[in-house]
Amino acid sequence: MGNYMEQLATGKKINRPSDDPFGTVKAMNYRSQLAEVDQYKRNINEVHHKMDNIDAALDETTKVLHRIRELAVYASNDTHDSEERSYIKKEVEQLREQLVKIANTNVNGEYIFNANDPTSKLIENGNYPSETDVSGTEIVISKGIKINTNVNAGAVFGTDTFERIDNFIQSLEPDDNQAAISASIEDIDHILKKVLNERADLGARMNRIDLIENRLGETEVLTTKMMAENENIDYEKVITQFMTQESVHRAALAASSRLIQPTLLDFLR
Amino acid sequence: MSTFHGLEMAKRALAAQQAALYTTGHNIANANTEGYSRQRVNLETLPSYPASSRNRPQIPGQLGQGVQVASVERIRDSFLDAQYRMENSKNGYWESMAHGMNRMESLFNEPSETGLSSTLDKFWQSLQDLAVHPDDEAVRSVVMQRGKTVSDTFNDLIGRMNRLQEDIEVQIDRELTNVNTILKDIDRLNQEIKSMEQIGSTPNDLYDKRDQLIDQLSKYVDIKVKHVDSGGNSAAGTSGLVQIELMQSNGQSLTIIEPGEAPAQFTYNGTIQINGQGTDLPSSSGSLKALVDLHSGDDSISISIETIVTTLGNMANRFNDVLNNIDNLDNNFSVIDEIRNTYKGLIADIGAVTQEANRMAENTSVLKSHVDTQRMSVSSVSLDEEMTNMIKFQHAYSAAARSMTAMDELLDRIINNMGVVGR
Repeated sequence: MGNYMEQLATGKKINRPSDDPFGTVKAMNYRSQLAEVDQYKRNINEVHHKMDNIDAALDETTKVLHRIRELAVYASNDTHDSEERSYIKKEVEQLREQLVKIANTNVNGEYIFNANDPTSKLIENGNYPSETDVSGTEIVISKGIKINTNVNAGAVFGTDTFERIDNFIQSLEPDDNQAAISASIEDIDHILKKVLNERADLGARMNRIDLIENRLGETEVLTTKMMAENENIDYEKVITQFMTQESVHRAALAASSRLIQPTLLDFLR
Repeated sequence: MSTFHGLEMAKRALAAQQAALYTTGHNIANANTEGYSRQRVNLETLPSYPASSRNRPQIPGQLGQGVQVASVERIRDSFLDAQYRMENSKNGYWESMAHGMNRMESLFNEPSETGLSSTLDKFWQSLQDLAVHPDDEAVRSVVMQRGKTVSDTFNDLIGRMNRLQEDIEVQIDRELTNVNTILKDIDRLNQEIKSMEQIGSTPNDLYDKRDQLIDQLSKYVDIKVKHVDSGGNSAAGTSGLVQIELMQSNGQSLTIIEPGEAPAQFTYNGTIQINGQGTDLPSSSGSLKALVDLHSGDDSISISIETIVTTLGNMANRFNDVLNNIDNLDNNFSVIDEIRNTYKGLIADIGAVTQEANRMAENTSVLKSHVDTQRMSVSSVSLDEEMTNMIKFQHAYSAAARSMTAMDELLDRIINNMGVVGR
């Protein structure tokens, strides 16, 4: 009876390892698993945050590049004079600065495009990353699954990109250089394609993370359910057993009282 | 045939029935005494008259001479005694073991949100955060804090285990003191019984006391009891002196009580020693063995505190490696996994052994009380039976008194009313 009372009071079948040794290990495992799932969800939140920011930055980059391309197409019109071309040049220079600023985007103290060293800017003192610089930080978002959270910043903001833009700026010099301007349009297309590649890659990775996040949610629900089944009591069952045990106890007491009483002494004079 | 033959016979009858009544009264008085076995008076007829001899009187038939008390015997089944002691020994082991293991597993406090398992889980979570933000000072300090919590938990556990070990040592000392006292008492009783038996008495109450002491002893250690004749003028039906042997795990027996020699001395300093020599007690019997197993035994059926402390110490050392080398993240994760698995294995082992010990304790307790009930149904006093006997002897006594009155009237007639013709 004492055993059932304890179960009713705590609501659990397993109050100490000896109640069910294997069940205890399972209980500890479920708890560990839930802690892991919790942590992975946190990690995924972080990853989402970062990748959303990268995507937004790349979106802005695309817009900037589109504008530069527009200007390139406009400038390739022979009818403009050098004064108009100098206005275009000023705007392109500004847009170039904008690109550098985007490359050095800082979110939460981290320079999101600098995969090697998030504490320092990607582009500083005129140093641009090379295209082959692709290492990024990998974050664990599920057991054995690591995700690269960076894009190849060297492809988008590398020496190659800024060289091409610089070429375009130069081609807007007072001397009309139509061939160079036309070549620049192709250059900018080239850059746009690279940016698109990186965005596609990023998008694919984000989809994958969404799937994993769904799966983690399901795992959490399942694990909680199994933990409850493992440890929690079925209240109706335990109460019934408890009351049965109580009746047995009473019956035993009643029987004992009837056995104890009469002795021979009661019957002798 | 003497003149007073009838009177003498009635007198003997009165004495015999009185003795029987006294014994019945003794039984009734001791109905609730622990360890008491009921006593029974054996009455027998005296040898008839005349005996075969050359000058016997030629009377027809043989005349009986009345009754005498042959012996007062103790109703006790020594086979059941031996069985009881065996069950008591097993029960002593498992109860001690269950008690100790229950204390041990409650110190671990698993499964719960506050045990070592949860603390390790939280530390693992903080390490994950560090993997995501390796340069964040705040995250780093959380890792160190949680690491310290884990270390503290380890130290706490190990400390408690050590204290439990000390407690068990105290218990062992206490039980050994009891054992030594019991052995001295048994030896003393042996000597008293010897001096009583050698003059021809049967000291039933001393036997009871001695059996009680042997029962108590059997709880602590597994023993074998042999009876040895007292010699001298001992009557038939005496129990003799007791020789007690201790069973050891290598199959050899060690004598701890030998009539005529000093009883063995038990001591403890790491292992149980008898008369200064280390001894290996057989497994699963006697509460002393249980305490030794709990303390530092390496039996396959039990888990000792020594083993647990060693395992915890190893885990703590590996954890210290992790703390000293926080940034080696891949390695750290696998070490933490390893520690978690070792810990879960340890808890499972402790739980399984405790469950088994609880089950066996209940089991052996049932068996022991079963044998005890059988023992008591043979040896303990049934008030109904004693009442009936008392009525029997009472009537016999009254009848004997009546027969004495009849003899008295006979003699009166002869002495006072014969040969007075004409007076």
